Amino acid sequence: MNRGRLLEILRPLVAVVIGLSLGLLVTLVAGENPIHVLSVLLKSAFGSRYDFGMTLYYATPLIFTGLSVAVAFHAGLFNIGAEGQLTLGALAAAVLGASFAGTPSWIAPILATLAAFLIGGIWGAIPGWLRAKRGSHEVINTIMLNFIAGGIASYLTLYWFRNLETQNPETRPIGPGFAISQWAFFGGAPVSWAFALALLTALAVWVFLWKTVPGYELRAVGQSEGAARVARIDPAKVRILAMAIAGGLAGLVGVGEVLGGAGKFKLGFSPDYGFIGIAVALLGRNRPVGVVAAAILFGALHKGTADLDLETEHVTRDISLVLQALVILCVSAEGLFHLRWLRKKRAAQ
Amino acid sequence: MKFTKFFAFSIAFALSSTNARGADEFKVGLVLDRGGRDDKSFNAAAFRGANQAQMQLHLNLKTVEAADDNAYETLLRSMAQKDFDLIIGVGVAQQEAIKKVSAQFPKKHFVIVDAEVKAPNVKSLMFKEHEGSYLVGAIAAMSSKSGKIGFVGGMSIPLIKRFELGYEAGAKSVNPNIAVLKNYVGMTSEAWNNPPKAKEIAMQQYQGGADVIFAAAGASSSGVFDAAEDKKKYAIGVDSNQNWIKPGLILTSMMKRLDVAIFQACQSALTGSFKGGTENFGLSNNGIDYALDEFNEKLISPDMKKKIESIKEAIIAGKIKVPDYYKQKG
Amino acid sequence: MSGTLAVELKGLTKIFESQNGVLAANAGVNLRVAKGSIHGIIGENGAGKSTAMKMLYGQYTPTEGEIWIHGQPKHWKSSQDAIASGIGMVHQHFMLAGPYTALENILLGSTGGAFRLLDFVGSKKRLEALAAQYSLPVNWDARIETLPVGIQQRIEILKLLYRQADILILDEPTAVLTPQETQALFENLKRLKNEGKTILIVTHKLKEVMEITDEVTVFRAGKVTGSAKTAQTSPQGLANLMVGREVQLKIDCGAAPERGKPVLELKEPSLTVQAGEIVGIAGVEGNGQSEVIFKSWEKACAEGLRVALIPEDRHRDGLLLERSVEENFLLGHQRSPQFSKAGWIKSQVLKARAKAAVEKFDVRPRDLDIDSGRLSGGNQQKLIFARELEKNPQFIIAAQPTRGVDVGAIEFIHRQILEARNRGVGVLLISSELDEVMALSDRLHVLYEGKFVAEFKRGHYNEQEVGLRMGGAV
Repeated sequence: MNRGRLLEILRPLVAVVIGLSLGLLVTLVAGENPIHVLSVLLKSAFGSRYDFGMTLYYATPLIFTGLSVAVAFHAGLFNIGAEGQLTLGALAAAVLGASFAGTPSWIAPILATLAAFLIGGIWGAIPGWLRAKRGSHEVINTIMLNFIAGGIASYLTLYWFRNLETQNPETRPIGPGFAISQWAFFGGAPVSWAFALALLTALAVWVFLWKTVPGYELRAVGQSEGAARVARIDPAKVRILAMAIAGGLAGLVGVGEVLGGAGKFKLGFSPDYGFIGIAVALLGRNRPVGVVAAAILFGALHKGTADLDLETEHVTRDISLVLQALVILCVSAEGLFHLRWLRKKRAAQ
Repeated sequence: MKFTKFFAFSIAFALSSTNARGADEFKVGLVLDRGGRDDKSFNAAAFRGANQAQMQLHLNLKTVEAADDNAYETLLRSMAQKDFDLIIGVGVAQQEAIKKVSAQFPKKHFVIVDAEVKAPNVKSLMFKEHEGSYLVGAIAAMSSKSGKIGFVGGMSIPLIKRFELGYEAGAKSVNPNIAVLKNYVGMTSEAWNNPPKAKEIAMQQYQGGADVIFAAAGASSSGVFDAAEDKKKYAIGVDSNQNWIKPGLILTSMMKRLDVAIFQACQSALTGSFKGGTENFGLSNNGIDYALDEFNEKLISPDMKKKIESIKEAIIAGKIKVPDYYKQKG
Repeated sequence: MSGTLAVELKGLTKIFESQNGVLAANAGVNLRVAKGSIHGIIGENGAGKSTAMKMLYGQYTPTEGEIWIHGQPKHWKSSQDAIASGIGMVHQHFMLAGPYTALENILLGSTGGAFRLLDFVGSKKRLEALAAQYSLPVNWDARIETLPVGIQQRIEILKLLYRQADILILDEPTAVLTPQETQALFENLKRLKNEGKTILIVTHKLKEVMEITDEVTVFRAGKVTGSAKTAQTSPQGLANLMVGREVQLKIDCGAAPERGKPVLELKEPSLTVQAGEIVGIAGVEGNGQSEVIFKSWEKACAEGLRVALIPEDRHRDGLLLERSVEENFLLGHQRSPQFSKAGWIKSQVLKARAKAAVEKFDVRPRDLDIDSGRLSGGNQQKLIFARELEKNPQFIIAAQPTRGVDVGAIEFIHRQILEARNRGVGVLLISSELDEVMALSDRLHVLYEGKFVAEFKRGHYNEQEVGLRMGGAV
């Protein structure tokens, strides 16, 4: 049993190492010394407090979106809509913060956090409801809702809450009471209490899924709808709940971005956090601990590859993307391999 | 570390810019806007200037592109922490990041394009886009047979509104009854890099009767040129000289000489005469111009050219007041 | 047997390495099948019969040991090699594509490149000749999904013959057939035998082994525990060999208790189950069993009864296969105040109860953390019984309770059902195993195309008649 656990942890790590090695091989082809590239990567991600802070800053939204995808996955649903959910969640926090700028600081961040969770949750519940009641597939609906969310966010940002002091498409800044403090330890990197919130959320998700009845029912539906029905669980309700929670979790991205980071909602602030969240959940095996670890890895990759451009002669941002993509590819290929292996094993019994 | 930096600096100071060996140590970091160096337009112009500086002044250039809007600050910061002497941020999106990082590194020199950051170590390069837009608006009106022209902007932000307002005013100065169709590509930074969408919009404008379209949309502009080719109608390029992209179809280009401005900034930093503050580039100092070359010489008749030059001179002389969106908004 | 050997397995061993260690699915299996004979392969689930057959069919590569076909040692890389050596297999779940015609199905998987042209006319001629030779008539232009299961099976067999197989492996071939169809199949198999084909039947039905096979080999725990001429064995002896101990094959129902109030009264189709009786429903699968189960369950639940449901498809409706035994034990109890409070699962209680139940119902291994999907069929079913009886039910719906369950567990499950009845629980038993329904039920309905077409009382069961009614005869 112990050996099994160890393998469970080792396998994704091996996949990451393989993906990274392949990526480094590509940089070799591009004319770089892979050792140098690797050292730049590591230094850029963990080299200083600031760098590590940036890594954690990037990891924060990925923890939320990873958890979002994971919760939906446990209910047997594929949430590709985290991007839209986080957009609206962040917008909600920013709009609240800008509209009621005078809110005192003891309550303001909590209200904004709840708003982000609620609006993200509603946006997640819509495809959940469509799937549960109308049977239309959540993958298509969440993708479509991403576009709609983008449109809504643009409209509200540009025509209702626009910050006129800058050329950039963003909302007015939030009131000072809403800002959550950044950790000075990280030398100016915008890593804030939002990271702590992300860790706490991961813990809460774990407790919810494995210690509570609704969490148990959620996982039961994800495992077998038939068995869940026999256990008098209403899969429709559970699916809506799961997607609402997933949406809310994605919405919490707004806490780090708006309250802890920019202090406003910037259109297009997310470099596809919602989609990288899928890879994070996959790599983290949909376990909260795994998601946190995977999110930090991806945060490090994101931060590390940004500096590659700067530190090397031939590696541009595009090769950085290739590097990230290879890691994701290897991780998912490993997942497939794992499935096949399971199936074979089962067939053998 | 400190010593080498000091060393590099002192060499830069001591030796003239023509001295290759010393200048090699002078490091310039260029952080481009979304769209990247191959946008044939805005970023391309910036890159061209920096590249020219690298070639002629023999300085050491590093060009990077940001992965996301949060990455500007990180990149600028990384450069400041390292031994870069001059750091150039291209585009309005970097305004805040430059403001923040320049304050943290007061001894480094920064340049920001298209936005103003008031700090002693930051040079803000501003362009009078409205002047050039007025000029190409006039050219569009002169060439239009349908009495309808188009404008495809990247994003509805003040900067692009400034293009739009100047363009329309220029066109109306030639033909007061001319109709101007105006559309924007998008609302996120993706708008600067979405040629298919831009093409779609341009096709609609052409179908709606426009026969000249001014594209002010960064890398998205190439979509407008594709539409021009499909419809065999005219387009006007932006930022760089884009006449060559579709020879015979691109009436002219409203050139924003980022290359000149950035080259000059590099030169001043290298020679130690770098000063903070805002530098304005307009028709008067050739920072803004319209493009005339072998690709469009058949499209601009000598008669037209005469008229255009007289408008240009009138603007420089202040006889024509071009409306400025920035000033309108107060 | 004196004839030459068609198949000989020598010390065949298959070891699977898994997350939880090493599993020897087969250890030193020796098997000798005479040419032109019908050979029964019997054993409990997980005894290694399928693994051995899959090695013979080339789906698995043996870890050790040799496969000899017609006196030649063989090493094959895939099923393709085995097929080329004249081995064919009819899987329990047919490998046919429903929307295609019988003819297309046979051509679909036949040898040749992916881009070869299909020779429909020529193939059909050859197939018709083959069908005539073995008297296995088939309408080649009918779509598979419109054909009865028995015919589909016939098509599977013809597919093998078409590919010139002379050693046929049939995996649980009678599981989906009516008694009449089974008889027809057996006649066909005998004919094939007389034509010189060698047939291996994997089954757990001792009655059939006795009826059709010439020789029989018994598997237990990955090893061969016995091999004999069928004529020299008895069902009891084989069962003991399979399980490894003395097994009670005969079901002793005992006296039925006093019948109580009805626990189920269904109108459409009309069905009543009283407390303290077992009502059986016999029928070929797919004749409306699922609807009867569903309606009965809904009705009884709506009336607020404590209902235990042993679902017909335990993988689909009974278990969370990738969850632990403990979590599976909780299923359906999760909102009961015994197991949870204010939405929090009482993990201590759950663990203790699950442990006790697993003990009582002899679920092996005694590991609460193992995924239920890794249990054998019999142990999965025992786990479901353990869970459902934890409800202290007033009404039990047991659908196909012993499907894919080994002999030892069958005995145990039957005893549970009978004990429940004796406690005064009403039981609705749905099974396609005619022997099982007849042995356990106090009353018996025959279900055909969604309707009850006949009712029998205990003591008046006649297999022939029930079988005919199952097939739709009036």
